[in-house]
Amino acid sequence: MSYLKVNHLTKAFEFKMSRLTIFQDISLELHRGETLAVVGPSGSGKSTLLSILGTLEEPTSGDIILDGRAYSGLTRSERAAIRRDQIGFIFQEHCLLPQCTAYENLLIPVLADGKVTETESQRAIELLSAVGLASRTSHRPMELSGGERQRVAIARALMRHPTLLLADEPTGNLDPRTAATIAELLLEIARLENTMLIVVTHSSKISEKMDRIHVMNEYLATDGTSQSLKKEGEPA
Amino acid sequence: MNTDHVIKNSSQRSITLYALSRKSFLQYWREHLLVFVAIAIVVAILIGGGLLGDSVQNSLRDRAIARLGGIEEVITSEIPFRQAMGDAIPALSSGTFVTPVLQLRTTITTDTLNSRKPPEDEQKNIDDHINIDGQKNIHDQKKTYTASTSLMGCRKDFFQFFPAAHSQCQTKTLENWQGAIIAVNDVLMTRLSIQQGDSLLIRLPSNSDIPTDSALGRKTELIRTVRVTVVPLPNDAAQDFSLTFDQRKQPLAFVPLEWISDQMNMSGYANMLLAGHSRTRQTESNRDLERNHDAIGMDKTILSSIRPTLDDLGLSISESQLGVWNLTSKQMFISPLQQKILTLPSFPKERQEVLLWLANTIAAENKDSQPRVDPNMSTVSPSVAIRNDEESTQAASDTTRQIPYSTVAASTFFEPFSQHFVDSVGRSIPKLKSGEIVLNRWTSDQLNIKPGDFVTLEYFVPDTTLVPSVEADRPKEKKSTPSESLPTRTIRFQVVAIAEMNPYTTSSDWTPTVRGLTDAKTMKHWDAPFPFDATRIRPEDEAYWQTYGTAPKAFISDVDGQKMWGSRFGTMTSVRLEKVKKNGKTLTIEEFAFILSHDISEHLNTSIFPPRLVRKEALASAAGNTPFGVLFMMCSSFLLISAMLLIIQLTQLSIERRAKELGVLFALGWTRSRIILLFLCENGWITITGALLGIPLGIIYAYILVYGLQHWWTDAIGESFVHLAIGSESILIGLSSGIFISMSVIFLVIRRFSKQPAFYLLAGNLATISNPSRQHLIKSIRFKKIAVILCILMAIGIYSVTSYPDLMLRAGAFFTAGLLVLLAGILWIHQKMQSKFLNNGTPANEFQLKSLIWENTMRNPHRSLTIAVLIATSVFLVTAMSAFELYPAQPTDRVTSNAKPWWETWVAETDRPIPYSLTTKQDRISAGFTDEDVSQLSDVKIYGFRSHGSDDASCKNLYHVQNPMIIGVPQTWMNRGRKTETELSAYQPLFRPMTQDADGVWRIPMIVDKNTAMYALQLWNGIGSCFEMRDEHGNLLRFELVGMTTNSHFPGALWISEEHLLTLWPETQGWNRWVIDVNIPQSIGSLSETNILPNATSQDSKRLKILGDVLGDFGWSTRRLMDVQREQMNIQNTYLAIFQLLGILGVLLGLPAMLVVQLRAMRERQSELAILRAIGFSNRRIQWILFMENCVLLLMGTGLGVIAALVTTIPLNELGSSVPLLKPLGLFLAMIGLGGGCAWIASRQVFRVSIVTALRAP
Repeated sequence: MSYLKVNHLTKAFEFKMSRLTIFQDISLELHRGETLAVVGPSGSGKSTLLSILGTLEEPTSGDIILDGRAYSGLTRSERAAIRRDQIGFIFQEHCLLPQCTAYENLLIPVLADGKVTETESQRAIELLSAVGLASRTSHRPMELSGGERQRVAIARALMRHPTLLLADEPTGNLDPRTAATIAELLLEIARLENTMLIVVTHSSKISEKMDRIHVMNEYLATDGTSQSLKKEGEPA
Repeated sequence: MNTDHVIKNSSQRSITLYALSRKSFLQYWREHLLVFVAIAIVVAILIGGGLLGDSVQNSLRDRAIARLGGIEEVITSEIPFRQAMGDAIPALSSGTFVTPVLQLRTTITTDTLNSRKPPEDEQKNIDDHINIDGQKNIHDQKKTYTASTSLMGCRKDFFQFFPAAHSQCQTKTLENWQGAIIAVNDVLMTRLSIQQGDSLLIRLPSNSDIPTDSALGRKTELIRTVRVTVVPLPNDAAQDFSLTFDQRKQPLAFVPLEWISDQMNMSGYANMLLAGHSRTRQTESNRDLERNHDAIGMDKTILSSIRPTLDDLGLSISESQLGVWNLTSKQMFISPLQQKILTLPSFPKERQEVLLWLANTIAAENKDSQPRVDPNMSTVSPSVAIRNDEESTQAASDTTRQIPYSTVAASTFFEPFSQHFVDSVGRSIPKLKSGEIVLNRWTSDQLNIKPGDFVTLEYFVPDTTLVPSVEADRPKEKKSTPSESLPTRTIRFQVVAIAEMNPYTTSSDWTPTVRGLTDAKTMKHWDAPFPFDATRIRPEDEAYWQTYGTAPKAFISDVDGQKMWGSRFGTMTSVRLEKVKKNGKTLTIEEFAFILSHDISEHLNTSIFPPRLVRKEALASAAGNTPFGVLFMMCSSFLLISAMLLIIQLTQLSIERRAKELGVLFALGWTRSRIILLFLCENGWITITGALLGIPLGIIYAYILVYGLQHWWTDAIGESFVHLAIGSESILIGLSSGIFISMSVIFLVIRRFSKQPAFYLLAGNLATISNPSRQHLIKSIRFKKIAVILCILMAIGIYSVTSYPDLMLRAGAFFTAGLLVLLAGILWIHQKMQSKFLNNGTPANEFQLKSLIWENTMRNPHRSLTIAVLIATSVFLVTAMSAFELYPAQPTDRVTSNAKPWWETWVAETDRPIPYSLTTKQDRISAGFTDEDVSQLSDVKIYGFRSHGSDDASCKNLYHVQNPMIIGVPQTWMNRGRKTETELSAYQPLFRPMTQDADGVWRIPMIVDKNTAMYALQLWNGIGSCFEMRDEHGNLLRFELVGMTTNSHFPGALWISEEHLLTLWPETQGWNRWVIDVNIPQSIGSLSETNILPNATSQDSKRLKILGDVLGDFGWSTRRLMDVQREQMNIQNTYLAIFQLLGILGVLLGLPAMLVVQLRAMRERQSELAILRAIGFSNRRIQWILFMENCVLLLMGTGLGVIAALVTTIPLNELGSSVPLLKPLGLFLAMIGLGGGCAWIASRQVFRVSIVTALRAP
């Protein structure tokens, strides 16, 4: 069974004359189909945590195990392979390639290690249909609205059946109505695909919908369900 | 793997890596546009350089081929041969023909009979060889012009080698090609300032039978003047005709062959044979010519099938009354070349070889005299001794027992003739031994001598220039009259027999024909070329002359004869044979001559008349010495570097803007290599399209360079002759090199960015990307500080060396010092930039606008440093290159009131050789100078040189030299007092003996001008390396470089010892090159070139005028050595100027690069500058900030470059290289102006956007 296990993760940066600890001693566990919201104040290291979980960056200490495979000791190409085959990224700013159509943007992950096959082409079409953009496949990002672009980004993230979806403020740039739609879509797709979903968000409406919430607060991570945290009050 | 599945809906085609790259290319086309232009420039420079090289090479080739016309082969000979020799060549193809030519170097002067005044503006010497006597003839207000010219005596068929003439005048000239007419080329027409119908005076050499350098050779009346009338050149295409390969046009004149051979007493003879085919079409190109050549199927060795006769070798065979066949030479001596005939199979081995000479006196030795035996005469029989002058004089003064001017024969013993060589009792006189002499009856009676007695022979040394091998010392000069100076020698012999007067011993055929002597009616009528005292002739001598003519009065052994009279001119004067028989039948002389002719053709043609395949030589020569393509690419290196920097900067900027895209691809699982591949594919589109644009740009660049060579930089090539040639090979090479370089540069940039962690790329925080770790920074700064100190110390070390052996070495050393200072400066600036990241920023109370400007400049240290380094390096190189500019050596002696004399050196040359070296006072008197002239020239030192060959081997000649001029250095050169010990010792190796290598080739020591050695002869390995060439007879010669000179007197010549020159080319006569040291009178005050020459000129030119007046008929011309040196130096200086100009262009190209980068960078800084505007900065203040940011970089770069350049140039100032302040100042001002313009344009872009919009910009 797919799972993600984070053990005593710490991240610090060396800057000029000082050392800046972003977060310290984070531990968590997630299983297939589970959703997790990561919340916390600005500068608490939410995006950094996501980058580390996505193998884009290495922790200062601690370890991560995804589907039984530890991140430590992996080579660069092994990390790239994990990102390609097991992880899907959704960014706040969608990060679509402006020169490619929606359909083509979905195929970019496929081009990472080979050529596009019929199966993959079909998958791209299906995903775009799933996110409600069946009629907009040949439109470029500049011809899509903010919400539509984020749908494309979500579809792209799911292209290779990832076991882990990482979304960094996926609705941060959207108006509340669209944000809610996107959030719903994200959750629905994640459930349909049975992936683990970790979402960094400021929005309580989104975090409420997650199975669990992880609060990043003054280097001390507190784990709990949304309801229990609601009882204790919103984290600062 | 299966290829992409094509979905039916065309809008949903699958994407591939290459399709993605193409999409990206189109998406970011604006960013790519400038990269595209930069790539086009890179390719243009590479193609342009290559095409220039092709153009020069093609132009050289075309010029060489055009000058030859249809000529394929040439034969030349020092012995004149029959004009008809070429007529007998069998089976010539259609259109192929052979024509004889009489070619010589001569002097032509305008005739005062010309009534037309020369043009008024013709005041200066336009020909370096024009006689310095350009004074106006005050009587008739006309000027006389003189020019050194190549004169061709030819038949009219010669002009068929060139495309046919069209004008009526030309056709008419051709039809009437005879008599005293001359056709000149444009160069000569201009130099002499003449027109058709004018009259000219030609100096022609008088044909001399006996070599001039020989004691019996004529030394006066060597030149006669004839008058000719100028007619149109029968064929314009012939006016550039030349058999030497030099791009510069030379004066050339044509006269009818028949006429000139008559004038030179050589009727029916020529010295050159040309073979080739006619060119009938006016516009026939060289390619057509070659195709024509193949179509005709011409035998490439036409001239190898000539049938020379004895006459063509300058030999003749006659029969005497005794039936003796006598082979003799027209030049008295049978030269080593002519002696080859003796090796022919048909020439009898049994023969008598005779060397006949003239004894000034045969004297009976007084019985009571005690001759002194010279201890050095160990190789000669003890009975042979040299008398000293006093003894000889005493012996000679006994006129009752001496006879004057007698021929003496030295011969080999020949059995068949011995029966005729008998004494008074009829006994055959046996073979003579060394020291023995046989007198004929008449002589013994005159001297009252009997066998056993001794006689002395006094004679002129055969070669007046070299000592024969019989003596170790040079013979003392003995004057038979006060005014004569031919060296003589006296040898003692013992009489062993008295030969009877019989037809054999009294035959005149012992003596070869010598015009003026052997054909004189009486002895007193001799037209003797040697010092001759007719008062010594007695009636008995005349009686002998009338009866026996030139019959020898004495006979000696061949061994003694060789030692006494053998010389480079030859070791025999006749060969005597019995009648030759073949197959039992006695041949007639004509039959024997015919057989010999056949044998000569079969066995000796290749050695005596080897054909020169001039067309092949032309093509080989046209490969040239100077690799213009590479040279101009190096000169354009700054343009190339600037363009490459532009590519780097723009690519960098583009990728920085797309950093997030890079991050996304990483996030999506793309590997680094795949991302690099994607960007390379994208940039590949740019590169290929940019490179294709570079092709026409390259052609334009090549055109501009060719134009520059033709008009601005003619000093580098001597003449405007280059035309643009577009070769596909250079284009392909330039294209592929440009693509490779551009792609490599782009690859390196992409690779650098792809190394960044994906997280940073996603963040798009460019400042963060550049930030190295603290530890790394500290280490780097420390290393740079140490490196700065080391560089400064090394530069100081170079300065502390007080002397360098060579000016160029010194310039190179100081250039290196400048480079070290530049490097130190760059490192210091870089570590200063890096130190910024270790600080906490400027303290609060010290932060001013300048701090903000400085911070802004350092925001992207890598970019800022690149621009500063580019500017600093270009300013340094452009300025410091002046250190290598060359100027002629200034006189170093300073004149004060206790003056040492000044010496100025001139070089001179003549068209015809002069029989005297002019070194000694006696030489000058013999040459025709009066006592007063000699007195005036008393403080003028002259060193005479012989020479061979004609090609200028200096850098002025762009062709690869085939037959370089070779100068023979006399021993007297070592006595040149002004030379330092170092300089003198440099010449010493020249006088080492020649050695023979294992392959049989002779190795001759040689000294050459350094630039000539390196660049023209390409002797890259320096001392010890060899230059090989073939002489006129096809023999390979190997010249070993044993020394190099700078500022040589004859920079285009190979210097070998005179002795070696005469060994290799024994036929060389007289001297034709001189170095003249003129003592300049005292002058007061400081010296400069401008003030010394006016003071000196009047005295200088007066003395040199004397030389010109006396020796003008030989084509005497002088040049200041400084001018010779300046001409050579101008070549290097021109290339330096080209480098500097193109370097400046490169720098100026770098500035638009800065503009572009700045404009692009403005996008990054929009919000930052909007904040300043929002706070309250005025537009003007912001413009000032941007301008000052540029100035910081410019000042940094220029200042550093100038300091480094001054380090190089200041120490060299005293040697004539000026401190070049104007260039860097001009460059700096130009850059400030451009920098200001860049800032203004960039700021306009900023102000176009509203503050609110800019604040919201990402």
